Amino acid sequence: MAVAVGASSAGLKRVLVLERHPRLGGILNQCIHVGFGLRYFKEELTGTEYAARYKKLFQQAGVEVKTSSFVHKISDRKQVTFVCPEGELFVSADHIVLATGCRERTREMLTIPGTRPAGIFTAGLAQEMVNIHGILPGKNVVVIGSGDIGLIMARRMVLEGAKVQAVLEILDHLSGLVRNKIQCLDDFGIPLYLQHETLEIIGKDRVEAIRYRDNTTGKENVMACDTLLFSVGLIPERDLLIDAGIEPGDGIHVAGNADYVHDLADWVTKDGEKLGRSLRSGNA
Amino acid sequence: METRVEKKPKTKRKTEKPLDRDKAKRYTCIVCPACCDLETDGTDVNGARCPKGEAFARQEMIAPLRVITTTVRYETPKGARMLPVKTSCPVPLALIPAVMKQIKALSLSEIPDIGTRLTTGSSAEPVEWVVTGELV
Repeated sequence: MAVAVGASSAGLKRVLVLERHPRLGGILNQCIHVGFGLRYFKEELTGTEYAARYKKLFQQAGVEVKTSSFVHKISDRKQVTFVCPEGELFVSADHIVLATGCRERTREMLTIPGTRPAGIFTAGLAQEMVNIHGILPGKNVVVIGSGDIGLIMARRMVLEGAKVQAVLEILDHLSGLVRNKIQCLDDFGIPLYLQHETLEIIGKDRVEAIRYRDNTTGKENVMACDTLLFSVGLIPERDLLIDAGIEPGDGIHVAGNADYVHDLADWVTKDGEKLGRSLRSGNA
Repeated sequence: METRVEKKPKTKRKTEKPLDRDKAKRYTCIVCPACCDLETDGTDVNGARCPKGEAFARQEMIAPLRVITTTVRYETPKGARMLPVKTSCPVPLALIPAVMKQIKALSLSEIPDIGTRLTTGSSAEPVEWVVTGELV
């Protein structure tokens, strides 16, 4: 949305936004917690409020938008193929901007040995289950990794009645923002164990426990749990470019978290608008 | 790769005030992502880059206040939908479990618009909520 607003404000006439979901806003729609907008709107908002407020700016810009439209191919550096309720369509453009955000790093990308039982989620998936679908992923939770989404979800799970045993972080420092550790872990008495490495996931049908090691002492231990949430980093989503075998530049642009992982949504918006404006002046 | 560093606020840290050492406590400010290190004895505050941070430290010493964000379940023929809400003002940390019970017991007869205010709790101690999102 931000790129389109920026491009439109700079006088670019024909802008089309393709969104795979039925509604705009992306991951903000599942971020019901506060902490958004202090830098952009100068007011503390929830992610959902931030999305709703920005959507108003977007609508004022009068940009054309197609929701439920899944882009699956970019070809010849200018043609985009997408699937929507009307079928498979093509569109050509002088500039193509990927504002595809990030994916979460998963358990499979970490080489943690053990079985593959049910009860293993990324923190963002758990967030969607709880906040959008109203499903609690489990009752006795261990969070692996101390990224912001993991911290936010630790609190969210406690509020929804689950027990969160601990947050295990392999590094010697917190990955997320300090304010999130305070208001999500300290407020609810959830311990953060730094330099703790997860060694094995135990369980046949459902997660039963994890084996972990305190790397400061070398001591191993087992913690019983029925659910694991992974918050171990985000990866910019650029599969469309990788599939097409093309690099950004020459009419292909990458915006926001697809460019690099930002710590605040406000910076994503500002960067997006900046990129949008540059498309008109032809600097990009 | 560009990385953005949190901009240094324009206001400089004020000179250290002498604190009552018997009462002094340290906090990390959670008002904004700058996360200032604060120290206060309940009257004077050191380390804050803004007045909001000073107020936060004083309040934290008396009783920590937090905005609660959660969802209200709305049943539809197609299944449950979750409506995001937040408390209209911060509530005492200690009351969070009780306040969560109240909002979980709330049932909606119709879908409110974003910004609508809802009330739970007793008339003597009401808790006000604001709808922060829309149902799809």
